[in-house]
Amino acid sequence: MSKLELRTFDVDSVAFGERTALSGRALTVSKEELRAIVLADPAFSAVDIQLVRPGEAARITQITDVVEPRAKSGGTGGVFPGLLSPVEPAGNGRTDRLRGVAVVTSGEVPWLGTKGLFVAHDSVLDTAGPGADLHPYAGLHLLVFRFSFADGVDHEGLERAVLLAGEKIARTLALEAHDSEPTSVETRELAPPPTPLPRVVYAYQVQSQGVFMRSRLYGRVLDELVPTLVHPNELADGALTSGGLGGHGAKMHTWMHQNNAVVEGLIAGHGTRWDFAGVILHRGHFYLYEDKQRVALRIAETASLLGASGAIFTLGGAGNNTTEAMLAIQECERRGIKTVLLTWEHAGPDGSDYPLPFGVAEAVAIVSTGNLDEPLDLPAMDRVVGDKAIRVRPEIGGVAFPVDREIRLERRTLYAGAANPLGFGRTGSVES
Amino acid sequence: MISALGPVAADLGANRVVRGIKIPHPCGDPSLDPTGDHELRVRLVRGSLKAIATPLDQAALFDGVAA
Repeated sequence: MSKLELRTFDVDSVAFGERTALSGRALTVSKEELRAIVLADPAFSAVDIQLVRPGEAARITQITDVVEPRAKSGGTGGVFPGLLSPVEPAGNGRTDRLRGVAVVTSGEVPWLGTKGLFVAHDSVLDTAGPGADLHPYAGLHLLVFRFSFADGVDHEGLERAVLLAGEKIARTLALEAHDSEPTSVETRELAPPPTPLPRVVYAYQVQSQGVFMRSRLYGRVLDELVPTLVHPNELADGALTSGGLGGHGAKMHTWMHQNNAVVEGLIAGHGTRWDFAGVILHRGHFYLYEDKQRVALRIAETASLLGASGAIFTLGGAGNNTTEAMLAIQECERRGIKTVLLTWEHAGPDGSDYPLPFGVAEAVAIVSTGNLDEPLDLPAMDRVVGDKAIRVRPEIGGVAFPVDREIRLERRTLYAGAANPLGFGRTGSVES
Repeated sequence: MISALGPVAADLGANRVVRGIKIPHPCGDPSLDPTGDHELRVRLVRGSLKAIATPLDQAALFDGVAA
């Protein structure tokens, strides 16, 4: 069984300097070193590196991914297996993580003739004001890498390049922790509890539907994923990653997979309050009803085989994939497995519409993580990191939307991280 | 109602639900050549006409293509 020693190194300050190094809780970052790592990939023509400190009022535009610095310092394999490291067993040995700092990748992804819904969506993210409550990054030092892309690279090439760049930088920073003293050390294994406790699984839905809204497991694209069982320690080592392109508000960043709040909660209570049986990774957004039923049956069968008496569901994406989650909930409940669903709502601008596109009578325990349709009024920030305008309305070919001022977002899908149902952020709903 | 998600259509109160092709293209299949797509569409329309002419006591799901 998987056993991981997770060493946490708190970072309280970040500054640019001549050499990348961690000294106590102070991280120095060499722009030159990291620029060289990025530009070694011919997909990039230039990179701008900026730091946003906690408490600063910044609006970051066109974010593609967020990654927590992690590296292996013992045991087999490396972080981000299947992409940055070879495909070897993840989640064993020792992993170092820098807490308090995150790598943000960004840039204006060329549309290259794509249009409509399947384009690289632009979005913004604020580190202060009401927008700071919608994502988990406001208290972190954010190292923002804004890429310029070389001509002649297609979207597949760009997607891989952006993802790998974020992972390389994250690993480079975390390797500096190797000889330092960790703030805390935690050993993670799903050891059987001394006395039997209710078995609980986490049915984790991710979104993977084309190059702009992608998830990967051990490097493999999950567009055709049949539900599969993973150990939470594999997530800690970055076996599950986001995709490199696109900034739709429903996109789950790699950071969210590394720090999934539901997984963290289930680990915290393992052995005392319940017996965490594992993560059933699945995807929605299939186009045939039979495909959706297959997902539901595989989730319920896996949960049954694990002897689960409870299952926690979170949605990935916005809309279509509600069907897979609801059918799986139905199938689990029919088998006597109690379910809870965490989801945002599509409840209309004032919150009074029917909140979900599909439902089943068996879904009796649902936690709302906020209303995705509620307009978002955001004040001007002191500083814009990235372009001062984003591209909106791709269905009509794109319109420039200035963001270097007070803005109103009619849809929260334009706000990075706004549509994650993982328990991050501080939104919810009030019954009225 | 022609829908690729029959149970969703039924949930919304449709009495006669005709099973469509796929969610992004319920009334045709762009992966077929134009002739094949046309034939599929004709079958679906015929199946739907048959469904609408069928007397019902309760809501029902029809396979529009097979009809």
